[in-house]
Amino acid sequence: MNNIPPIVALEIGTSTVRAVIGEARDDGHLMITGLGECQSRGVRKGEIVDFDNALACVRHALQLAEENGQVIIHRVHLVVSGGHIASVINSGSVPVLNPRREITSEEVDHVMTTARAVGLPADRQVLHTICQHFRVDDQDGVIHPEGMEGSKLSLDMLIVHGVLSRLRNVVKVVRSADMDVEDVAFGGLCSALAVLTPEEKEAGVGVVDLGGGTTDYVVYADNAIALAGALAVGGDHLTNDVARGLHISTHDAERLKEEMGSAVVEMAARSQRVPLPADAGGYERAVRMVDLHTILHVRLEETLTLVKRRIEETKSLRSLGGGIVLTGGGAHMKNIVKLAERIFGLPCRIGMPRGVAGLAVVTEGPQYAATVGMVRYGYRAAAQNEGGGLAGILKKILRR
Amino acid sequence: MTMDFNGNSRPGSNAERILVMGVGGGGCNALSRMAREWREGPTLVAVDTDSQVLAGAAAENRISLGRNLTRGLSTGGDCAAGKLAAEEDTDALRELISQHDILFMVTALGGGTGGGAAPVVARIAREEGALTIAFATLPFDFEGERKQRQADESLRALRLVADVVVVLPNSSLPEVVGEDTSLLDAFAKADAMIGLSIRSIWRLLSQAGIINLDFADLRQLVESSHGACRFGYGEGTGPNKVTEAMASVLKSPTLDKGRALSESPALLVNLVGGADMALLDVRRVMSLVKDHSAADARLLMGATVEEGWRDRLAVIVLAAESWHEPAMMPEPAEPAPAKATRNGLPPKVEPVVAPQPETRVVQATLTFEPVDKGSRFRNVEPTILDGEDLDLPTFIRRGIKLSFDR
Repeated sequence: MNNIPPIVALEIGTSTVRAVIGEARDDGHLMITGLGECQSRGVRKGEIVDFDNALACVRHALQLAEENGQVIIHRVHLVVSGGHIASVINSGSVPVLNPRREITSEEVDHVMTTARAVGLPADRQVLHTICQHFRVDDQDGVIHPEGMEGSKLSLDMLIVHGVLSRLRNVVKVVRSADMDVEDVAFGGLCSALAVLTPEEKEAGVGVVDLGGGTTDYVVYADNAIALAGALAVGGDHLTNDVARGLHISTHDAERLKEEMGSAVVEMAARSQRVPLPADAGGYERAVRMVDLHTILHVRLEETLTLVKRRIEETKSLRSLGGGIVLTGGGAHMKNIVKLAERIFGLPCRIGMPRGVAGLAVVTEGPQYAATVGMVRYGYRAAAQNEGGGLAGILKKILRR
Repeated sequence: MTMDFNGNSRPGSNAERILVMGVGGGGCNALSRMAREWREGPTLVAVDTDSQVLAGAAAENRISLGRNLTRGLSTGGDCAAGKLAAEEDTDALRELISQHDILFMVTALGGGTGGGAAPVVARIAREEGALTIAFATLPFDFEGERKQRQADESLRALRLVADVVVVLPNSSLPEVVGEDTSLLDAFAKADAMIGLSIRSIWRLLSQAGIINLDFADLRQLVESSHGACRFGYGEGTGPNKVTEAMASVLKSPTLDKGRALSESPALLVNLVGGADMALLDVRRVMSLVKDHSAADARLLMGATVEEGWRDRLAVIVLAAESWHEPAMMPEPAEPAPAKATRNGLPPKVEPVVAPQPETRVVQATLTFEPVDKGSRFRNVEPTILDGEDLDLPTFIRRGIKLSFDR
């Protein structure tokens, strides 16, 4: 593994642009050796809305990471998200034609190609294709079909896709900062890689990454990824709701949300008031804590309920023995676990990046899940092949 | 005025934040019963103009209203005097209410103090941001035309300012407690019913029940119910306790013999039982409630244990009336209506002032630029899901009122 150079994961988030430099150690742990982050401008709901501002932020974050990690960065692994990212299950089957009716690697390759060939609208681009389970005739849940006998081999493939032009926009920003994009991956998948334990994946688990612009979700059922997608609602909406509801500036709303926010209305805070600083020429006033909590509560309840509904559509909600893991910056919200447990009816926990050494701030912050997961993703991809199949999928996105 | 607080407070506990107030003679009687029976619970305060009534009240706190006005005597059934008396002592009321989150008010409308002071108390609670749930009894038919009319007027005034008014017409008492019950027993039973309801909600909110209720849930139920709630109560004992209790709930006159259940879009069902309450009992009650309520009704449930109860079950139902479906609420096109209503009291209960056509509320269709979303999402593709623009604050779409805007 040591011949693989350090990986730089870059996330152009709605609230923060973040670059994390990491190396894989021999024991499988990731060593985080550099970090650069700055407040994001020009990004809404995970998508670029102001190219120049976004570019300036990317340059700044990468520069900070270079200084921090004492390296020169040439290429990055890019984390992407946005409400346009969704997943679909595509099934493929092939007949087993050889006379002995034994499945060989040829049939396996063939069925994988068939299952990957999904018909998507012209503006859509496949981001990931993830094998779920093989089926040999009527036998479900086969993991290694090679050597088995049967007349038909089928495969369910989860296809994660997004809108090509939007994905290319993000890549373009990075290119304009004179960086190469080595790989692109969906933030939700990256977060899952960072925070889940093997036991959780086996038991079935949902990961909800509460980001600034989007809420990304990924579901593992029967040890395979069964769902991935994003909802274009995030922490930005919370801030906006608070600003509108309490008639205060976005800046004040952000501060109130972070310092005093709660995902459920706290009885103790019922009559509490929070003083606001008097702005120039204005008058000092106070807002009620209960209003703040109510605004946050109803938004978070709605967002999590929407995610729950999407999970329910896959019929896997009941079988998630590992519960729900909340991560992303929004996981800092007070009482978020309490609210999530009530909505999902499952045990919930906050997911921090696992198996990570180095900068303590990274190992203790759920907001680093996606970038740390991307480092891991990058290493896996590099270890599996030297730029083979995966890059093929991304050719269109990475095309200059 | 005098304030007689004997300071039985437990600072910091959740129970502290709920205040139960008996207003007027009838209310104080109900309160005294609670005070005698409860060993623990929310703060109780008796409020009346009549110093004799107050002296007899068993509550830990007492506020005597309008001593300059009535000199410690009753108002003689005059609502205007009751109102003036309460206004005279606004400060004392405000001081007490401001320390609490939820005010349960028990009052008998038709009398002078109950009818006159209760709306004043509710208004103060509103100004202090406390959630107000009023249990108001209406006089018997035979108590005369004048008293009836006065009660109706008071009820209207109360509904304008209280978050929820639960109306209990005395004339329905015989059906609730049995025709042959003595008048005294009937009142006692009605008081006990109200007391148990208040206490069980207090338990749910202070997380002392088995299945608890969140303050936000109650707030949502209450604030979206347009100020009125139907109340149903049933009790059963022995092996058939579930059937018995639900049968009396379903024939409660206050629930229109169960009809109100099927029409209510939001119900709070609270089970009170002994430590032996079984999961099966809870499930049976909820499935019966479900059978009798609308398919899309929002059901909130709670369960609490009453010490010393065995093989006994009470079912308390609060059914919201004319629920304002909170999903969509297109705001008027005029800018900044919130500021205009910040001073003074906006009329809260639309049905009284100007009933809105039902279809407009239920069938709100999405327009793409209905409200200012706030600067953050102005130039971004909107997040539309199932016809809802998720960029709009959820609290606006659900029509949740903030105390700030009051």
